[in-house]
Amino acid sequence: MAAAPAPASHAQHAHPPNSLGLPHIKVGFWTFIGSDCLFFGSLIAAYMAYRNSSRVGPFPHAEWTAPDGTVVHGILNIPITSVSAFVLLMSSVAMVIALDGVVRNHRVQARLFLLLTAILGLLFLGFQSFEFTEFYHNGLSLQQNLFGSTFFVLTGFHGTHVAFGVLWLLTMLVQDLRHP
Amino acid sequence: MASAAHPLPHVHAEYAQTGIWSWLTTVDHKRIGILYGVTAFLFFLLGGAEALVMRWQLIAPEMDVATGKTFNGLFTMHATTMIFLVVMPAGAAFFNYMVPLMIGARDVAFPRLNAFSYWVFLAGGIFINLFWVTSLFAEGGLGGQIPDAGWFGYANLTSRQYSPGPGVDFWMIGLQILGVGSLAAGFNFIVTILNMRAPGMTMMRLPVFVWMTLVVQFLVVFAFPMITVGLILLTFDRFFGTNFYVPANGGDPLLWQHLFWLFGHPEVYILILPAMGIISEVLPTFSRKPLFGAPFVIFSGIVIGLLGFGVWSHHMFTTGLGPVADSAFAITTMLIAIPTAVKIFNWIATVWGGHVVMTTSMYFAVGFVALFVIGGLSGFMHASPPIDLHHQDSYFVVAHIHYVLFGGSVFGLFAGFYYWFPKMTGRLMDEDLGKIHFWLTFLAMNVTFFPMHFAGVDGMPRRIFTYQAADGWTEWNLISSLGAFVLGASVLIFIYNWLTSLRRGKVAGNDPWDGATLEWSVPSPPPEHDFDRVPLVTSSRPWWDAKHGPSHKAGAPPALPLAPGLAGPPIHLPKPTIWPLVTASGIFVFWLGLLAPSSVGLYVSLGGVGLLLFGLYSWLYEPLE
Amino acid sequence: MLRRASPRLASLAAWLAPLLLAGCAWVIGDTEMSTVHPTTEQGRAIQGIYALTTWIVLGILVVVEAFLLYAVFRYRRRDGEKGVPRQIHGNTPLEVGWTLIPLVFIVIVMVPTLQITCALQQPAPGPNPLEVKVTGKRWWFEFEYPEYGIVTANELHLPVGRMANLGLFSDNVIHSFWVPRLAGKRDLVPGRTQHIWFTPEEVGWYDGQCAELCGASHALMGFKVKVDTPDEFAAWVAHQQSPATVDMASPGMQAFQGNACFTCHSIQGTPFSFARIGPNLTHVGSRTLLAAATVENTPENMRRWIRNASELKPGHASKTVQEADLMWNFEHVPDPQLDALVAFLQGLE
Ligand code: HEA
Ligand code: HEA
Ligand code: HEC
Ligand code: CUA
Ligand SMILES: [Cu+2]
Repeated sequence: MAAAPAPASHAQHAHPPNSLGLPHIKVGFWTFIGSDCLFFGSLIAAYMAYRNSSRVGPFPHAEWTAPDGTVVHGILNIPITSVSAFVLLMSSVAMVIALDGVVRNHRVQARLFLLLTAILGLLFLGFQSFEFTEFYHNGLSLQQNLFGSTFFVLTGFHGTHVAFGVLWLLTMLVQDLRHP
Repeated sequence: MASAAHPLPHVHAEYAQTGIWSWLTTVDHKRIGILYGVTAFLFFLLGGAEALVMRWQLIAPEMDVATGKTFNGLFTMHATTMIFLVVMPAGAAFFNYMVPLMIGARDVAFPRLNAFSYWVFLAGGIFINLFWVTSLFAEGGLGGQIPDAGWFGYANLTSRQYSPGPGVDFWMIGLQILGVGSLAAGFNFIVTILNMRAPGMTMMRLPVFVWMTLVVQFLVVFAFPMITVGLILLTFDRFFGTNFYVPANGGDPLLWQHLFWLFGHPEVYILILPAMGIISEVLPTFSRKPLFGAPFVIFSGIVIGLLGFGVWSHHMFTTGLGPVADSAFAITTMLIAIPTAVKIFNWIATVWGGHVVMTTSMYFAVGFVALFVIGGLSGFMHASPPIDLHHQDSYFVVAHIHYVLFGGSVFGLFAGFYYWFPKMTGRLMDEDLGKIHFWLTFLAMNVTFFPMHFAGVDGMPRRIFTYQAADGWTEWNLISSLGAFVLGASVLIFIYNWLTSLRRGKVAGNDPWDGATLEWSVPSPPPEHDFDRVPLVTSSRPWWDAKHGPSHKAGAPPALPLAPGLAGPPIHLPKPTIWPLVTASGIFVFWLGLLAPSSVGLYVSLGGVGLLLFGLYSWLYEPLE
Repeated sequence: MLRRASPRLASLAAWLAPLLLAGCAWVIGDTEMSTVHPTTEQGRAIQGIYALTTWIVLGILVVVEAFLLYAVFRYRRRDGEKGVPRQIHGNTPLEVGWTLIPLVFIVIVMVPTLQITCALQQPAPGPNPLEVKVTGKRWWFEFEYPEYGIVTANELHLPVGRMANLGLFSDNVIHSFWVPRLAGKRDLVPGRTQHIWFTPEEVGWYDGQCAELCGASHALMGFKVKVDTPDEFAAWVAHQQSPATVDMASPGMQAFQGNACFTCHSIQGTPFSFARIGPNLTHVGSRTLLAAATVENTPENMRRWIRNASELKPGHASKTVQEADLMWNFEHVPDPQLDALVAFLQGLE
C-alpha cells in the first residue's frame, strides 16, 4: 500500500541497509498475508462449524424438496468449480512469469503476463457470478439458510479480494505503460 | 530547548512544524505519536467520566441516575473507550514516538501508512461515539442510541431483534474501522522493527520495550482478523438478514463467543505488553543497572503472546463446553502464570542491588508491579473452572479487570509518560506534583477497586444498574464510588502538572535520567530527522556504554560510534501529505452510508468508496519526497 | 514537599491495607448471595478448591510484595552515593528456579481443580432426580415440572434431600442461572441444552440472579429458590396442580379478558390456559415477590406494575412488534377496572 520505494540513489546516502536484507514492502506483505490467512481461516471455520446446521435447503450435497415441490439436488457444481479454481491457479502461474519478466527486464513479457493475470482473474470472477446466479435461481440466497449465509459471505469476500487484485494489476500495468 | 539551536546541515528538506495543516498532513512519526497520545488522553477523560456516572449510580441502593439501557450503555462505552480508544492508542503513541528513536532509525518503514493508521483510528473513535450526536435528535434520547450490549457484545443480544436501535451499529462498525487502523500499524511496526534497526542492532540488542512492541504487533496482526470476521458476520445479520447468530435458524451464539475471545484474550496482552515493555525500561534506568535476565524477559514476552492464543475459552467456562475443554483451557491459562512470573521476578531482581532513584516514573513502575500482581493472581483464581462458576460475571472479575488494566496498563503508561515526557518536550514534569498524583492515584485506585473483590465474593453480579439494601453490598459500593471520585481528582492534578510543565517545567537536556538506550543520545525534543548520524550499535545499552563503558574517557562528552559509510548528506524526509487523511475519511463516509436511511445511504456509501479510491490513488501517485 | 519519611509511612500503610483486607475476606460475606457459604455438596466441592487457591494466591502475593518492597527500600540510592552499582546482567540458575517454583504451585492447584471440574460436569448422578425445565425469558425465569404438570415463575420450589436436575433453556437471548449458595452458575444459551444439578440440604429461602447481560432489565432478573421439607413440597405441588377457581363473570376476570392479558398469561382452570409468553398467573397471589423479585407482591405494587411496567423494569412496554414478548403498559385501563383486576389476581392464591 505505501508508495513506491525511494529511488535507490537516495537510499544509499543516508539510510542504513535493511536489517533483513529484504525490501520493506516484501516483509510487510508477508505479514499481511499471514494476517489474511487468519481472516479467511476464520471465515472458513464459520463455514465448517455450520456445515450441517442449515434447517432448510438447498444443501451443498444432499437433496431437498422446496415448499413449492421442486426438488433441488446438491447445489454445488463440482466440475464448474474445479475449472474456475484451475483458472485462478493459472493466474498465479501467469503472475510468476510476469515477475520473471520484470526481474529479467523483459518488459514485453512482463506486460503481457500482467495482462493475462488480470484477465484470468476476471475470468474467475465471471465464473463466480455465474455460480452465484445459478445458486440464486435454485433458491439459495444469503438469507435462505446457514449454508447460504456462510457460503456467500466466504466466497463473496474471496471474490472481492480477487477484484481488488485485478484492479491493482491493472493499475500496475497502466503505470508501466505510462513510463515507457 | 536544545533543538532550536541545533543546526541541521544535512537535512535535505524541512517541512512546516506549526499550524493545523502541518498536523493534518504530518508523516513524522514523532508528531503522529503526539497525535495518538493526546487523542487517547481525551478519550480517557470521556471513558473516565462514563465510569464516574456509573459509580454515582451505584453509590447507594436503588439510585436513579442512569438506569436500564443508559447504564448498560455506560459500561459498554466505558470499556470500549478505555480499551480501544485509550490504552491501545496510548501504547501506539509510545511505539510511534520511541521505537524509531530506540532502534536508531529516522522514521517508520511506511510513514504515510503510519499517518493513515492514525486517521483511521480517529475515524473509528468518532464513529463509535456518533451516538452522542444522534441521541440529541432521537426520540428515546441517550438510552435508545448508545451501544449497550457490553464491550464483548454477546450474540444474540446484539441482533436486530434484541437491539433494534443504532447503538450496536455504531459499535460494530466503529470496531471494524479501528481494526483497519490497528492492522495497518501492525504491519508497519513489524517491518520497522525487523528491517530498520541501526547497523549492529541485533535482535537481542533491541530494547525490551521494542521487543514487546514487536510481540504486540504480531498479536494485533493475528488477532484482529478474527474479531473482524465476527463483526462482519454480525453486520450481515443486522443489515442483510443472514442467520449467523440466529438460533431459530440453526445459528449458534457461541460462534461469536469463540471468535470474540480468540481475539479478546490476545487483546488483553496487547493491552498489557506495552506497559510491561515500558516498565522494563524504567526499572533499569532508575535502578542504574541493566535489566536482569533480559533474554528471559524477552522470551517470556514471546511465550505470553503465543500462549495467549490458546486460552480463550476461559471466558466461557459457564457456557458448558464440557469437562475436557474446560480442563484443557484451565491448564493453558494457568501456565501463563509462569512466563508472567519470570518477568516479575526479573523486575524485582533488577531493582535488587541497584541505586534506586525514586522519580515519579519509578513510583508508577513499582506501583505497576505491585498492582499487576494482584490482578494477575485474581486472574489465576478464575482460571480454575469451578471457582469461575462463581467469579464469572461477578464483581470479582471487575476487580481483576481493573487491577490488570488500571493498575497494570494505565500505571505502565503513566510511568512511560513521566519517563519520556522530557524527551518529547524538552522539559521535566514537576516531581512534587507527580508524587502527589502517584499517591492519590495509588490509594484511590485501591480504595475503588479492592472492595470489588469483596462485593464479588458477596455475590454482586456485574453489569447491574441497581441493587437493594438487603443484598448487603451497600458498603462496598459506597467505598468504591468515593474512591472513584478521588481518582477523578488525581487525574485533574495530572492534567495541571502536564499543562504547567509543558510551559514552565525545568529544561531537561538530552539525557535527564542517565538513560541507556539510543533515544537519550539525541536532543530533546529530537530534531525532525532524529539522528544526525546513524549510530553503530555494539551492545544492548549503547548510550550507557558510551557514558560509562570502558571506552569512555572521563570528562569527555559521550559519543556513539557511527555506522560506517552512512555519513554522507543529504537526509531525505518524507513529504507531508493530506491523502492518508482523505483515504481514511473515505472509509468513514462509506460506513456512514450504511446507517443513513433508505437509498440515500447507498449514494453516501458509493461516495465514500470514491473518496477512498481518490485518496488512495492520489497517495500512490504522489512522490514520497 | 514529600520527603523521605512520610512517603515511607504512607506507602507501608498503602501496601498493607489491601493485604489486611484480604485476610478478612472469609469473615465478611454472609450475604444472601454469598459465594462462600455453600449449602450443598457441589457447592462445598467448589468451596474447597476456592479456599485452597485463595490461600496459595494470598501467600504468593505477600511474598512477592515483600520482596518488591524490600528491594525498593533497601536499595534506595543513599545521599551522596556516587558512581554506578555493580552491573549484573542475570543469573541462569535463578531463572530456572523461578520458572519452576510457580510450576509447583500450579500443579498443586491444578490437580484438585481438574478433579472437581470433571466431577461437576458428569451426567447427573443419583437415582430419581427431580427434573425441572428452567427457561430464561426477558426478564424472568419460567419453571416447569414435567413430572407434576406444573408451570410457574420466579419461585423455584425444591424438596430437601432429593437431587434436582435442572435443564436450562432460552428462547431469546443468553441468560445465566445462578444461586450462589446452592451451586455455581450455568448459562442458558438459546439453541442449546445445558444442565445443572445439586441436592439441597437445608430448608429455606435462597436468592438467585441472572448473571449474563440480557438487556435493559438484566439487573432486575432475580428469582428465589425455596427448599421445602418433603411434606411442604408435596403440599405445594398439590396446590399448584389445582386449577384456579374463577367466576368468569367477575369484574376482575372480565378485565383480564377485556385487556387481552390472556394473550400472554395463562390461568389454569379458565379457557385461557395456553399462553406462555408471560408468567403463569394461576397462583400469582401466593408468590411473595413480583416481576422477577423486583418488588414485593402487594396490591399497590401489582397495580403500579400493570399500569406502568416500564417504570419498575426498564425496557418493558416497548411498542415494536419485535418485542412482543415484553409486558405492556396498561395506561388507559380505567381505575375501577384496574382495581378489580388487581383484587382478582391477588385472590389467585
Ligand atoms: C491487561 C489485561 C489483562 C491481563 C494481563 C490479564 C491476565 C490474566 N487473566 Fe484476565 N481478564 C481481563 C484482562 C486481563 N487479564 C479482562 C478485561 C477480563 C474480563 C473480560 C470481560 O469479561 O469483560 C478478564 C477476564 C479473565 C477471565 C474470565 C473471567 C470470567 O469472566 O469468568 C479469566 C479466567 O481465567 C482471566 C484469567 C487471566 C489470567 C490467568 C491472566 C494471567 O495472564 C495473569 C498472570 C499473572 C500472574 C499469575 C501474577 C504474577 C505471577 C506470580 C507472582 C507467580 C506465581 C503465581 C502463581 C503460581 C499463581 N481473565
Ligand atoms: C483500560 C481499561 C479500563 C480503565 C482504565 C477503567 C477505569 C475505571 N473503571 Fe472500568 N471497566 C473496564 C476497563 C477499564 N476501566 C472494562 C473492560 C469493563 C467491563 C465492561 C463491561 O462489562 O462490558 C469495566 C467496567 C467497569 C465497571 C463495572 C460496570 C458493571 O459491570 O456494571 C465499573 C464500576 O465501577 C468501572 C469503573 C471504573 C472506574 C471508576 C475507573 C477509573 O479508573 C477511571 C478513572 C478516570 C477518571 C475518573 C477520569 C477523570 C476525568 C475527569 C474527572 C474529567 C471529566 C471531565 C471531562 C470529560 C471534561 N469499570
Ligand atoms: C405482550 C405480553 C403481555 C401482556 C399482553 C400482558 N403481560 Fe403481564 N407480563 C408479561 C411478561 C413478559 C411478564 C414478566 C416481566 C418481567 O418479570 O420482567 C409479565 C408479568 C406480569 C405479572 C407479574 C407476574 C409475576 O409472577 O411476577 C403480572 C401480575 C402481570 N404480568 C399481569 C398482567 C395483566 C393483568 C395483564 C393485562 C392487563 C398483562 N399482564 C398483560 C407479558 C405480558
Ligand atoms: Cu437474564 Cu440477565
Ligand atoms: Cu482472557
